[in-house]
Order: sequence, then C-alpha cells, then structure tokens
Amino acid sequence: MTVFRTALRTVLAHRARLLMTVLAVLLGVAFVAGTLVFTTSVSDAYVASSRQGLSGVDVRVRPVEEGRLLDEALRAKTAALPGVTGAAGAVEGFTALAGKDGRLVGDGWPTRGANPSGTRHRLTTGRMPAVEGEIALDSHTARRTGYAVGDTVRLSVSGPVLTPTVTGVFDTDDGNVAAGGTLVLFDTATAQRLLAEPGRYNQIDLAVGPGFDPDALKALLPYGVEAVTAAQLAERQAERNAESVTALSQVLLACAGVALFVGIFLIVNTFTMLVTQRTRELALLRAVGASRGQVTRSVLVEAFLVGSVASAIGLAVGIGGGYALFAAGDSLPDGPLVVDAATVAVSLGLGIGVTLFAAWLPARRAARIPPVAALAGVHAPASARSLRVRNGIGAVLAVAGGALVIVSTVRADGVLPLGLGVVLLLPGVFVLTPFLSRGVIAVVAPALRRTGVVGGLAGRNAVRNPRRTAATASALTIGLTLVAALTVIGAGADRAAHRLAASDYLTADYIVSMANSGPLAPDTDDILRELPEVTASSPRRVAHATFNGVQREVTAWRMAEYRQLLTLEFTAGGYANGDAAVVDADTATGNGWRVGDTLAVVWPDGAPGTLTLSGIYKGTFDDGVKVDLSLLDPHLDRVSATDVYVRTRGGVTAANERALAHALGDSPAVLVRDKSALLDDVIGQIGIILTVLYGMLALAVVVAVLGIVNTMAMSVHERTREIGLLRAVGLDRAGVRRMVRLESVVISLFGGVLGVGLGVFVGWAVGDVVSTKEGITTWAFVLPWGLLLLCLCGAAGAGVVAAIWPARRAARLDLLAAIRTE
Amino acid sequence: MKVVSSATDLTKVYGRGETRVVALDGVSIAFGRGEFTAIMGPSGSGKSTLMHCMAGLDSITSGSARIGDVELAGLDDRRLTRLRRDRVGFVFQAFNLMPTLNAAENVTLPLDLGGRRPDREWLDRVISTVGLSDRLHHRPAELSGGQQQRLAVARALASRPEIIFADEPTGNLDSRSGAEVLGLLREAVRELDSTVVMVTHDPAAAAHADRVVHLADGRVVDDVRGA
Ligand SMILES: Nc1ncnc2c1ncn2[C@@H]1O[C@H](COP(=O)(O)OP(=O)(O)O)[C@@H](O)[C@H]1O
Ligand SMILES: [Mg+2]
Repeated sequence: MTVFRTALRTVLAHRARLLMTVLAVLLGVAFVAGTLVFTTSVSDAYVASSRQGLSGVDVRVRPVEEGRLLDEALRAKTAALPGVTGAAGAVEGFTALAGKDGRLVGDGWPTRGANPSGTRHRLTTGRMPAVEGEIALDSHTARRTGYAVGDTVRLSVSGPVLTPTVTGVFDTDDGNVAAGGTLVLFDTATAQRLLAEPGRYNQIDLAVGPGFDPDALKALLPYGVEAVTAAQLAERQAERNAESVTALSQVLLACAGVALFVGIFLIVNTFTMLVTQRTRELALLRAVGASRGQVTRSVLVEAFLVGSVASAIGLAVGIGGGYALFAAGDSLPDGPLVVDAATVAVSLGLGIGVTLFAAWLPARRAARIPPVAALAGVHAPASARSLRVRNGIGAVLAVAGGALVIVSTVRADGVLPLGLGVVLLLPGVFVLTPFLSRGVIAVVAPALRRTGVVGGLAGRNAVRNPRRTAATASALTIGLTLVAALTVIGAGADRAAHRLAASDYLTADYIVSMANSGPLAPDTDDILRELPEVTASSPRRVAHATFNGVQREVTAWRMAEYRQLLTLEFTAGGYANGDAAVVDADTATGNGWRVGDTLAVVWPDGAPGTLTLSGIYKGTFDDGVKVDLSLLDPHLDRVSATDVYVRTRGGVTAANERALAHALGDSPAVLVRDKSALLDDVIGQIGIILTVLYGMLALAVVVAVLGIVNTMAMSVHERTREIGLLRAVGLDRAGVRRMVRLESVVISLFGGVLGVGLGVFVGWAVGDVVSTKEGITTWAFVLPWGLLLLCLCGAAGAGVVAAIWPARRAARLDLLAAIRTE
Repeated sequence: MKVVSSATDLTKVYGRGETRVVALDGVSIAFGRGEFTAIMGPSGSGKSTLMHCMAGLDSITSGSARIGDVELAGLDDRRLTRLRRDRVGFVFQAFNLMPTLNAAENVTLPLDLGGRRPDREWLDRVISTVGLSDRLHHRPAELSGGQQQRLAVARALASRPEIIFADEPTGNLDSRSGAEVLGLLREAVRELDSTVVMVTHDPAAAAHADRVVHLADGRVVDDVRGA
C-alpha cells in the first residue's frame, strides 16, 4: 500500500511532465476504442436490418452461382410441399436510376431492381406497378431524388435507357437501401424480362409452418441450387455488408497500432527521465533497505497509474468518436450504440499494457541504481559497454535484415525473406539509432556551427543524450519509413500503369462496362457489332468451372477476334479452334499441364466436358484459362459479361466513343472507356488508397511530434541553469527560442532522413518482390524526389512545431531562478 | 573618477502582503572606473540583490540604476540582454560555464553571442593572465573548481566590459584557489584597467579591495576607501 501511495504522489508531483505520455496513450486508446465501438455498432445494426429485410421469409431457395435462374416449375413444386404456406418467386438485379440531373443515384452502393413482395415492400403512396412502363421507388430514394408519383424517370437495367412512370412509393427494411442504395420495383413479368428471363426467377422465398421437412425440399432442388434459412441469410448478408466496415476498421486498428507503438518510445523516454531525476531518492530507498524488486515495482505502479488514467480518458473519447462516426455515416443503418465488454477490455488492456511494457526497461534500470548513488550526486551516464553491446546487436540485426531484403529481390518468390528481412532490419536500425545519431549529427554540426554559437550549442545538445535523441527520432522514423515506402510503391505503380497503357497488351480501343462493374445487358455485344464503326469485339465472360476438383476462373472470349483486342504472347502452341483452351504459363507449370493435354472440366451447370490445351501464354494481368464463347455459353442460364472489348475503325476518336455510347442508349450506367480513361481510373484508385494510408499514418506522426515535444520539454527542464547562464551573459529570449527550435529540428530531421532512407529501401524491395511474384512486367523503381523531399520538409516542420511550446517555456524561464536552481 | 555604474535610491521589494521582503531599501552608490570594490554584510542583507539589480539581471522596484549613462529601469528584455552581453561581465559563485563548450569557447561566448570578432591580442593576454593557455580545449568538467572560476573570470574579461560583478566568486573554493582567483581580479583591475565589484564574506578577500561597502538590511551602513 505504501508503494501505491508513494507512486501516486510521484505521479501527481510530475503530472506536467507526464502530460505528453498521457496524451500519446490516450490518442492510441481512443482510436482503438472508437474503431471497436463503430464496428460493433455497425455490424449489429446490419444484422438487425438484414433480419427485418427478410421478414416473412423462412427459407430461400437460390442458385449457388450467380447467373443461373430458377424455373416457375420449381416454384410450383416447392409451393406444393407440405408445410409450405407461401412460395414467392423473386427477381432481382442491377438497375441504375438517373436522378433529375441525369446522374446515377446511389453511386458506390447497390442499386437494385426487383419485383414486389407483399411482405417486404410496404406501399406508402400510390400503387405497385402493374404493367410495363410503371415502377415503384423506395421512399429513401424518392426523398433523395425528389421523384414523386406521376413523374417519369430515366433508368437503365443493362442496356438502353427506359423511361417508366412512378406509380408508387414504398418503405422497405432492405439492408442495401438502408446502406444508401436504391431499389426500383417492376411488375413481376417486366422484372423477369429485364432482370432474368421470362417465367424465371433469381430466388424463391418460402414461408413455412408446422410439418415442413427440409429434406423433402432438398430432394427437389436441382444441381447448383441451395436452400438457406432466413437466419443464415441474415448473417451472410450482414457479413457482406459489414465487410466494407471491417476493412475500414482494420485500417483504423492498424493505424492505432502504429501510433501506440510509436508511443512506446515516448513513454520509455519519460520514465527514463523520471528515474534519472530521482536517482538520489531511489538510491536512498535502496540504502534504507528497499529491495530491487520493490524499486522496480514502484516505477511500474507509477506506469500503471499513468496508463490507467490515459486509457480511461482514451476509452471515453473513443466511445464518443465512434458514436459520432456511426451517427454521421448516413449510408449506415440506424441502431443503438454498442459498447461491449470486449471493447472496454481491449482498449484498457492495450493502453495499460503498452505503458507498463514501455516503463519496464526504465524500471529495471531504476532497480540497478546502487545505494551509494545517494551520496555522490551523479546521474550515472550509460556505460560505454552497454552501448557497445547495443551497437553490436543492432549492427547484426540490421545487416542480416538488409541482406535478407536484398536476397528477396533476386528470388522468384521473395515474400518470405522480404518479410523476415524487414522484421529484422527495422528493429536493428532502431537499436542502432543512438550510434547513428552521433555520426549523422556530427556531419551537420559544422554547418550548424557556422550559423553561430546558438547553432553550435543546439547541435551539441542534440547528441548529449544519444539514447533519448534516438528514441525521439525513432518515433518519427517509423511513420516516415512507412510514408516513404508507400510513396515509392505508389510512384512505381503509377509508372507501371503508364507503361502498361503504352504497351500493346491491350489492342482494343474501347472497353464497355457498367458503372457498378456489374453485368452488362446480354445483347450489348450484338448491338455493338452491328455498328459500322466496330471492326472487332468480344465480351469478357467470367465463370467458375472445376478442374480436377479445383474451382478455377474461366474467361470466355470471341477467340476468332482476340488478336484485335489483346495480345497473347504464346510461349508454346497457340490458339486452335474447337474445344481448345489456352492458359498462362504459371497456371500451366503449377498443374503440370502441357500443350496437347486433355483437361477434364465440370461446367457451371454441372455438365462434364473436356478441353484440349492448345497453347500456353506469358501471363500479364488477365491470367487463367481462356476458351471460346461457344464452349462456355451453353452452360450458363443467363449469359452476361462485365466488360465488352471493342476495336473501332480509326481507333480512339470522339466520334467513335459517341457512336458506341449512343448505340447503348446513352445510359448513365454504361461506361465507354478508352485505354487512357481506364488508366486514369486505375491511377485514381491508387491515389485514393495512398491518401487513406497517409491519413492513417498521420496519427503516428502526431504521436511522434508529441514525443519531440516531450523530449524538448525534458531537455529544457534539465538545462534550466544553462539557459539562465546563457541569458545572463547575453543571449536574448529569441536566441533561446532559436536554440531549442534548432535542436528539435536537428533531432526530427535525423529521424526523417533515417525514415526516408529506410522507406525508400523497403519500398524498392517490396515493389520488386511483389511485381516479380505477380508478373507485373511493367514495374519500375521510381524515386519520387519531390515527394521524398516533401517528407523531409515535413519532418523539419514537425520539429519546428514540436519546439513551439518548449521554446516558449525556455525563453520565459526566470533568469535568476535558473541560476539559483540547485 | 569616471562613474561606470551607479544606483540612486534603489529599492527592491520581493513579494507582497505577508511575504513582502524589502531586499534593498533606498541604496545609493556609485562605482568608478578602475576601482575594485568589495561588498560585505550578513547573509540576507541584500548583497546579491544589489548586484543583480545593478547588472540588469533583475528588475528594480523603484529608484534608478545605471550602467554608464544608460538607465536600466526603462529597458526591455532585448536591450537589457544586449547591455549585459556587451558592457557587463559576471562571475557567479558556481555554474559559470556551459558544459558543452570547451574552455576557449566559454571564454568567447559573450563575443560569439554578439557576433563580435574577438580582439586576439586582448584574448591572449586575458587567457595568459588567468593561466589556462594549456587548457583551452578542455571541457569544464575536466577542470578543477579553481580553474573553472578562473575561466569564468576570463570569460567576464573577454568582452572588455565596463564593469565586472562577482558574487562570492571564491565561496566554493579552497583557500589557495580562492586566493588565486582574488589575485586575478586584483590584477585585472590593475593591469587591464577593469572595474570590479565583488561580494565576499571573507575579510582577507576584502583586503584586496580599494573600497569596502557594508550592507545590512538592504542599506549601505559603511563605505570605506582603503589604502
Ligand atoms: N526571489 C526572491 N523572492 C523573495 N525573496 C527574496 C528573493 N531573493 C532574495 N530574497 C530575499 O531578499 C533578501 C536579500 O537576499 P540576498 O540579496 O540574496 O541576500 P545576500 O546575498 O546578502 O545573502 C533576503 O531576505 C532574501 O530572503
Ligand atoms: Mg547572496
């Protein structure tokens, strides 16, 4: 108990100096808690909304693979089963609705069309559509677009634009609608014609009562059709909806993880300083009989108190933040805020755990203070030996890691050595930073000294406590390593995309696709082929077939015209007519396939067949088994394709593009893109990913800046007398500020240079290894000088910002008090 | 004799209400060029406060303090700092030196801070006077207490200030080192024509001075010009 009380007193006495530590832990914990609260709330809300959306459905009968359909005959048979009280055939599919401005509504979210269901769609105004040319809209969408009963709207299912009239508006609990999508209802016959085929359904929803026998239902189902209970459905639907949220939460958690890790350096610095300052006090404790264990424990109890307070506040802030995010996301379903025990336990556990872990080393050091230190007023500097051991360990780790990374780039599959290498290299460099700090800062010292005596003092101050400087700089190094690596990889990807565009891999002029990447109208290809401008075209049809028990993606093309659309570089054989298949070299080697082999295949409808391997091509992007349309199409109920490749007379021209778009009804949902537009989209996506990742690393950089603030504040405090002396002999306040600021910039620039160097190295290796493994032949290592320079300027800027408060404090120090301080 | 530093009716009050302390109570005094003055008095009599106020290290409650004909009371921090740097030298009882600078750098610190070119000849003379020519590249931690105080005197002399204030410069030294430092200050006045004001408790140290001023309760109670 006395340990606890003294610890509490120590913590309270040093609360100002513990501020940055508390802030760092608080930020990390708040991020973790906020993410967990947000994720659990959203996924619970999704489950609830999915359940509601399935009210009235007990069992759903549906094909396993999309693209297959169910017959009216099957519906009638299931309806006749004992215990089945209702069997409704449902049709559903992509339907793009244009707003009053002509733009697609609900971009990025499922935009669906369907036939009405008595239980799931509740009319609020008007009536349900009865004939072709009539539709009903969900109330969310009606409100969003301003459409009302009687209005004519433009929509597109998978081809030419339709202009039906709105006859009704309905409410629904459909999770997609709650998530921001749109739902348009057609009468059943029209829905079947547009979204499926006349007389056929996507799924059959059963309501069942007593006497229902699931096995009897299963016996009725043909190959590739399954029966799923409503509970399972709700769960799967919720899972799918929650996937996007999960991805976001993983990014956020990773970001919190990096930030907490960076915080460790700050905490180590703080507790080392606290222990050093209390050397005499702790030695006295030892002299009067405290054991080493007791000294260690007293420091750990302090850390526990600090960690607890910071984590508790962080948890509260996180819950608030998570709630704000949940409430602000208007494309999320509504629901209560969920703070479960796991969230609380994980957040508090992480915060306190990280603090204790970081304080453990200083605590051990405290225990090693000899009782005689109470007499000699020394704060013992780190012995040369311990740094020598440390440098040895660091050098071994860094060299081994660096060597592994280099080795990984010359291997065909270097992922494992790369991972291992990075895992060794980064800690190795961190262990070496005290040593490196002396070397690197010694290089810039002459330049600093040239700026005047203040610069010289700042440079020397920066290396006075190499361990602390190193820990401070390392925190920034971590963030900048990741940022620089990402920047290098991003630049490489950008270059690869440009080179791919310049290459002749794609010989097609245009690629036609849906805005939602969904299936195009089945007649898209036929319509395009009738145009005089089109000289060659092919849909890119994708399905799954089974080879030797393994499911593989098969893409079907109009192989007779593939030469006009893409370049396949054959390493063996070529394309032959008939039941021929071609495959990329990796897949062929992986399966031991050779040209001339006969491959047994089970098509999507369950029919067995054989293919003759006629050629092996060099893989680029669109790898896998390729066959002619005539082989795959008979095995699909509804032939569709996500892309149609088109070659036009005269190549890419505005007139050609207009002709294609016009032939497809100028639909808002259909994209006609040439190679460069495609490229722009790819590059845009790379940009978005990078932006998200940079944003996520910002938190780590913020914690690193807190660490610099912490270190500078400690340094100013410890050098109170020196600053007083300098003031007395003629350094004005601006000079004191400049000195602190310069030191801070030197430390952060050191961290920045190290981080950018490491990041470029790691980024180069990752790009090289991944491009080799994935066969991205257009990959190139690019050094984005401008961005990297910006990173360094950012590091220097961080140093300036971090120094503001410590520099102000230093300048404000009462000069006489500074001299008098014992 | 030219007056280089003077105080007129100088009053310094610390705190207010219950904790109010009148550290200086209307002190008027002037120090002339080339004079070596010792200030004595019991502990708490205001010796340090007087030095600090006259040297521009501390603010004045009322009255006036001047260096040359510059009134300190009206100066802002930047002007005061420049005045200390260029026209005043200090020697404190302890902690006079920057631990990160070597001996030579410590000596030229005020000059470097002001961006002034040191007068080589003068510096050499000062350094040889304090007898540290062979220790110029040592850090303060590598010097003895006496050497450190001599270095502090050299630092105070380096910028050729109009006046040097020394607050118990020998207080932490053994008698031999103390005598060396005193001798040095004496020599500075005689050989280099400096003006020195020194606080001391030691009557023997005061014997080196041209003039001895006694303070008690913040007032000048005795002012003797000696032999
Ligand atoms: N910063 C301060 N705050 C309050 N009182 C002070 C302060 N500095 C000095 N004093 C008081 O002023 C008086 C004179 O102090 P000082 O000049 O240091 O005396 P001396 O140097 O002669 O021993 C003492 O009573 C002391 O307590
Ligand atoms: Mg005193």
